Amino acid sequence: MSNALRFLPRQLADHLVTRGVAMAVVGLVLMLPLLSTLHLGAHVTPEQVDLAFGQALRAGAPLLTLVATYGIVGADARQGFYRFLFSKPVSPTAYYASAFVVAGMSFVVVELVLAGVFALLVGPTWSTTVLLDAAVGFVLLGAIVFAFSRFTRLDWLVAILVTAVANFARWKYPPHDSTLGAVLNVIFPPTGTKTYFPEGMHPAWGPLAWALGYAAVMLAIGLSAVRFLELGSNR
Amino acid sequence: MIDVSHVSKTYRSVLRGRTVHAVRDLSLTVAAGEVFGIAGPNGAGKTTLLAVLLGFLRPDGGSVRIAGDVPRTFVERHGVCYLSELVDIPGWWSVRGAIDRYALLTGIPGHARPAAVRDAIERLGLGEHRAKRIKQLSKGNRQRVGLAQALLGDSPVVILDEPTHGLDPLWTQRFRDIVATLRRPDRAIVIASHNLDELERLADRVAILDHGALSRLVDGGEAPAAGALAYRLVLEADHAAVSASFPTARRTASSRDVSFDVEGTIEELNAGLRALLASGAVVRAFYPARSRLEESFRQAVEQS
Repeated sequence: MSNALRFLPRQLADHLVTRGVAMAVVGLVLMLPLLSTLHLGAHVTPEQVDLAFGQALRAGAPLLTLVATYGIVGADARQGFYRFLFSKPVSPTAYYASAFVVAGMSFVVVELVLAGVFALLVGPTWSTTVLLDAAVGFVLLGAIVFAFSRFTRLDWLVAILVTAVANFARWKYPPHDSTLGAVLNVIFPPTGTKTYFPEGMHPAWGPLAWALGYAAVMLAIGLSAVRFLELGSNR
Repeated sequence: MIDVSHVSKTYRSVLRGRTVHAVRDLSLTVAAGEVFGIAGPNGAGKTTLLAVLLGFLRPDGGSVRIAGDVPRTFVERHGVCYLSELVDIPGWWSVRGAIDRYALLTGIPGHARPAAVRDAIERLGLGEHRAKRIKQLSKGNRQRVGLAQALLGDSPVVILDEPTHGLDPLWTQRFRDIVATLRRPDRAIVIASHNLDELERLADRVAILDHGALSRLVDGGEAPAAGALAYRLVLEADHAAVSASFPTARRTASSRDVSFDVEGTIEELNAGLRALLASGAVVRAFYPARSRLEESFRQAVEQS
């Protein structure tokens, strides 16, 4: 087992302490208005619970993703932590790949905590597709953040801008109307998909594959930057 | 063990339109078993050179090989016992937690790790601080944590950048003892420091860098250079024969004792000393005004 993989549990513990708590607080704050409304209501059907939880998670997941993934590479470079880390027999590429996985695990843990709080205060939700949708959303947006992490400390802001520009480009140049629209549709991330699991556990394979494929390319860009660019500068 | 051949490294700032040649056409070798010092004024390129040796930076020209590998490959296979000038460790980690994490990354197996962590903490006198967070430590203690993590593992290469920076005199002395224990026939040790006295005590050879280039290579075993030597003469009391014995003698500004700076060849200094003692002066001390490394350093920097 590589040293980076052996280090993964410590990375997860550190991520949960430094960001997981913040993510849970942000998630709860975002859910608060919905929680108070539902809690005060006299009767809530299981379908309404699932719907409300889905809405809350869809609204909050992008923000939680940004908190989980910003500065994965950039923060170490900026704060100088890379010096001791990568004087050890560790591959930086493996280390940051596992850091991204850790951010994803942390995201799932926080999702489950929020689902638990929701169940406690409102009622149990069995809408696993909502959790899966959020997970795919995490992989897509998180990978975009990661792709820029070696280049700028504002990787999270770049990801927001890329998403906004993608939405604008698809509105201005619909993919099926022109060649430019079709090209832009390929270049920009697939941000238009509302759900990857429209019929229970049966995924919409096309959008799912497109999102995961796009994320894979973004992760490859991020890892290539770690592998082929300098780890840090003295200036 | 370490072979640096015609290495250059330039920093370019596109926005400021500025170019800084941090390292210029630098070549040197460090043999296994050797302690190699790197000295130079601020901005001489010492830290950049170490960053290149560790594979953090890539040279623009030339090549670096460590045991035949490019630096990054060597580090990822074997690791390097490395202490950076700035000890950057996440502030929320405890001392024990930090050493344990670095031990894990070093590849020390689980069953041996607790003992290795305990040893590193005790060796650097960090026992009473083990539960403290890194951000709660003083600069000196943080430096000791940096040194503790550097001593983990068994790499054939040790690179220490300003290792006694922030250490008190007691720990500076202990650091020298630690370096003595690190020395072994199959290991190359590189120490970059502003502290010439420290390098003179520890290093077999010292490279003096200036403006990114190798200005001089001082060998610890070299005989003193021929020519004028600068010495300090300390007397029990002022004596009229001083100026006759040492025509170049200049009274120092010291108010604590009667001392003079004198210059001359080794023969002239011996003759002057004999004459002074014969005239009845009581000499308390006679020692080099500057160490040989200091002298070389001064000459190298003045030349450039």
